[in-house]
Amino acid sequence: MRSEQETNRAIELYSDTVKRICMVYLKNQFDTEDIFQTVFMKYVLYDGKFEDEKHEKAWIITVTINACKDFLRSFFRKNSVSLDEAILIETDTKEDYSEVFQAVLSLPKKYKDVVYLFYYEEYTAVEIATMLNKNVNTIYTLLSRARSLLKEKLGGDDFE
Amino acid sequence: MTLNKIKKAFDTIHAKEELKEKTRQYIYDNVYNKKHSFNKNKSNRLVLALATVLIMFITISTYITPVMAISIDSQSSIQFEVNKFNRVISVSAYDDNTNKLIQSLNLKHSNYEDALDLIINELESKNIIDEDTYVNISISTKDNKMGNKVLNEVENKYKEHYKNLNCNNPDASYQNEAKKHNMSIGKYQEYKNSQQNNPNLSIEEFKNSCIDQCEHKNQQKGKNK
Repeated sequence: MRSEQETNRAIELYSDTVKRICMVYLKNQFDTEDIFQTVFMKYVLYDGKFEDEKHEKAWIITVTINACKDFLRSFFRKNSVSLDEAILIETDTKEDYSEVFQAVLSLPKKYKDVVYLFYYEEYTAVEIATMLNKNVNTIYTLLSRARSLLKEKLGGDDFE
Repeated sequence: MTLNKIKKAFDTIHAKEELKEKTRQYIYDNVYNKKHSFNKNKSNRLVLALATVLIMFITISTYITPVMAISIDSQSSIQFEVNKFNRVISVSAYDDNTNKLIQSLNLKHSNYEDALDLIINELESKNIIDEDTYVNISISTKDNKMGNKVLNEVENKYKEHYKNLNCNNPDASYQNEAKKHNMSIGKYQEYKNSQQNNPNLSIEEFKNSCIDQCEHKNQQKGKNK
């Protein structure tokens, strides 16, 4: 089990990353809180060693994505309708980027995490394939389709 | 340009301090605080267990430690040892018949007064003693106050019924010697008294005679002197 000090450091260091992934998958504040607790609880109880900070961050991202997917699959979630579902973007995002967020978050589920990991976290297709436990070619295909969709929504030529 | 926008857009997303604090608190409450309270409970439980074992050890040691020996000597001898709680913890007889008798009485753990009553009633019902028989009841203890109290109680209780009742407090140091010679404390005391009149009296010779015979001999020798 990790020390309180280690845990506080991880919360400080990776909270923004966890929050961004939560935003990609989830839509309300309370769900995000649940994911935070799940992810950092897993971190506290994880006994394995991380080779470096990059490895640790990749672990956090994978655990967060899985926690979000588990949450969306949960019986409660499937059988309840949240009033916050309609709110796509949280209020603390800057107005200037609302178009970008709308475009990314309105993508089908299977593209959103790939887009986030590739364009924001700058992981390679191979790394993303490992993190999401998918075939590399599948990642390339997903990225290609996501680019087309984003191009349609946002315009511009720099998606190639 | 668009890619740059995606990056910048996500860069604006930050976890609020409140969310971080809630997470820290959740982890602290469910992991670290639980661990501390578990350790605290664990050490409390250990102290409690040790205290229980210690109390049990002291209680058992106290219970099995004799503080007083009471012997009833007439034609036969019976001796029982009593603990601090006035309970009988061991009973001894010095011949087979008396041994059988005490086994049937189940005296262990009973109050010493009840045990004494039971023995005397049984001896009387088996015609071993009657109101004219010489009965010697010895109370031996290092606690003089307790010894005198028990002696008075016993004497007051039985002196009306037994004309030849003799109650005494033999020296507690005689207990080991009496045990060594397989004699009751009362009979050993009588031997010591007899030895004053007859220094050549052997303990084996004395052991094989009844206390009433010994007492009779003592009285005779006293008169002759």
